[in-house]
Amino acid sequence: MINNIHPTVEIENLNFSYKGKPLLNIDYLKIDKPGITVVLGPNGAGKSLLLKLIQGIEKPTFGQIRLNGMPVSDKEGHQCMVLQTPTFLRLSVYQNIAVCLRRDNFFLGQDQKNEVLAMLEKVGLGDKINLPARLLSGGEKQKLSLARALISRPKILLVDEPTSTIDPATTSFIEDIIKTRAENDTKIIFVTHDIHQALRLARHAIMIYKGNVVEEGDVERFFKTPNSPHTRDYLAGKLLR
Amino acid sequence: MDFIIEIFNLALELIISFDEVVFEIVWLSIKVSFTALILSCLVAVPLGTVLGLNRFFGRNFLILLFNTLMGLPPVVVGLSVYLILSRSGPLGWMNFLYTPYAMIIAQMILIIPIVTSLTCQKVEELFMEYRELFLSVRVKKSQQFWVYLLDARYALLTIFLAGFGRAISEVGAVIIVGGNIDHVTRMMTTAIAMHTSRGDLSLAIALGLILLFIALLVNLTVFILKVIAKRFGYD
Amino acid sequence: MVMIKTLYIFIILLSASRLVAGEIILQSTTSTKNSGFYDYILPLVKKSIDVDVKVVAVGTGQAIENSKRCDGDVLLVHDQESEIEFVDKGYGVKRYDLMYNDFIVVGPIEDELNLRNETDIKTVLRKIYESQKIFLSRSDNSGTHRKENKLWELANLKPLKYSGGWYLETGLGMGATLNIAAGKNAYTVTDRATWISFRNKSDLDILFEGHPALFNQYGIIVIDKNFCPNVNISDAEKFVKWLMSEKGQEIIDSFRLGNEQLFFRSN
Repeated sequence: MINNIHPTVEIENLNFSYKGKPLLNIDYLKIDKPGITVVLGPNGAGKSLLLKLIQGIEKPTFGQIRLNGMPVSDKEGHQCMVLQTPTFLRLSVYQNIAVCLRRDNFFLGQDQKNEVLAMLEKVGLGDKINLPARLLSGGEKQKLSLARALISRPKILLVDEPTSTIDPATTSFIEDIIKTRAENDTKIIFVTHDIHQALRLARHAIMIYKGNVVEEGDVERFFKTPNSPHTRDYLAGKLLR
Repeated sequence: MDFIIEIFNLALELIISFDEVVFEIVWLSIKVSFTALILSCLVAVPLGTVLGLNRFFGRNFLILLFNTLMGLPPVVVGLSVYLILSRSGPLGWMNFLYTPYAMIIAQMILIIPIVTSLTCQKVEELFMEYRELFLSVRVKKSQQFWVYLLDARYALLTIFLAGFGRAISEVGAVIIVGGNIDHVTRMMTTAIAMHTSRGDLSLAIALGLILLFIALLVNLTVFILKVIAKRFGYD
Repeated sequence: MVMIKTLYIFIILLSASRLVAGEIILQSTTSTKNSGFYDYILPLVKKSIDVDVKVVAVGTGQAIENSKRCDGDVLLVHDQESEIEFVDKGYGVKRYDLMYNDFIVVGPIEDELNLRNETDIKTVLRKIYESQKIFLSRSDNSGTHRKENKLWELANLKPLKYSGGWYLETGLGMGATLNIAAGKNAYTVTDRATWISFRNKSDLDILFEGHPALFNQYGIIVIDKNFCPNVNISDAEKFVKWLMSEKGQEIIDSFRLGNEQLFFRSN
């Protein structure tokens, strides 16, 4: 498994339509470079949709997405996603994480319990394990959602605007966690509108406009000399729709 | 007015004096209805959850069927169970007719559609809410099943109450399959029916008040549980 | 595995509920039960012959149907004609005259039709028929309902064509029908035992009684084991034999509600 080191996402001839209206259209896209990849684009361009398709939450109308050469399936996979508006079960913070570790047993072993506690400690929720998840603040919810995705050690982590509604301190806290995880061989693809955040974190950027990939490339080049007029407008804060 | 006061006095007297006969009837009612409820839930909760979580051919038909069966007339259930359990019926060898078991079976048939339909509805609601979440972190289907039930636990309590209410207040079915036999199958409702036919209306209503009181206790318990849950943020 | 074990335990528990020796089911008419007759007599039965009798009280017609489905060991009803037919067709072993009382006509206490002074049931029914005062019929195939039909026949009247008018078919038990009669201040035919034990009489009273045609015979039959193999024949026969014995008949005769005797020995 050579691909273990740099997981690959390969998209070929992909189309997603809703009621006959195409929302995403990608002829070919390969994400295989090390480091974090950021997906940029105006609202409604199809960024979140792209992540959901990679995760297997949505199914393409036609075309294929392969992760490390294997087609995406909704049954198994090594990818996890942090949703834009994280949802919480009517369970405690602890149970919200524990859910993802259960495989065959309903009750977790001691090792797994420790793992959950360590993860909660890491995201700064160590003192809230018995609190109902629904009572957490916005930032805490994002942290919990992130912890839930990380606990199963995904090879690919998809993050959808994790810090859009969060204060600067928490934002940098979450960024640190993402960065650490990326250094530990997890391929991270994330969506953001925060251009500075993209610069801080990512090594590779993809620009989506009206359901099409209009530009991709190394972050520094991407921001300095954008090729596509859409990218140029977007970065200049001009493009709205 | 005197009539009403007399009834209330009688009901109070029966409760306070811990009347042995009344206590026996009340206890049997509770035993039978609780057993029927528990056994029904063992069937109906998994069934409702499977219906709520999966999309398969015939699903809508099944949902429609269970919704319709919620309105099943108890007398029809009683007669059907009677014909099946009758000594000349297919399950006559079990000798269940005129025993509490027959009443449990009849009540189960009345409860199962209610618990199945309501569980299915609740779980489907949660499924809409959590579908993406489960796909985003990949939890096995068999595990999801338990998580949905755990998540719906307080909603399920209300559903169980609905089932219990249907069981304990029902008379048409249990009087046919139980026979209202003294000390064996006499329940609150059949006793009420019997005293009505004896023209002993005040005793009948007094028993009815006791039935109401039990229903109140059960509802109160669940209500308190829910209030506690709400206080801790699990509603 | 756990499921199978639970199921297994459940089945064992269930089989423990089967009727045991010393228990019989009596398919009975309601009047005997509602009057408290069984509460009086069954403890004595238990003491004398150690048989537990479980009483299922329904109308005569339904009791006979239930017995035909083998859901009883002994049948106690009050419609001689269908009882004899029951035995003739091989459902029952033998029919005994157990006890008797009589039917009565009840109605509004004011007695507008002056029925109290009549001597013939035919005239009584004719007066009700002609006055078109509300009359309630059980219409549930019970012993009382069959008796009522025979009385109309005797009077050569056909009230059924007025069903829904002044002749109302309740389709209910005697008690329920009496409750309606009390509410509507209507006339109806009832057995004496139910009437005496009925507590919601309100403005109703006995308006006619004591005519030979109003005789109410209760019969008792053991279900035939050849037809229903499940019948607990030994205990059923013990029970009937005891009731028909001198002691049993004396006890039947001694049952009182208030100061009134409800059933009279036949033997």
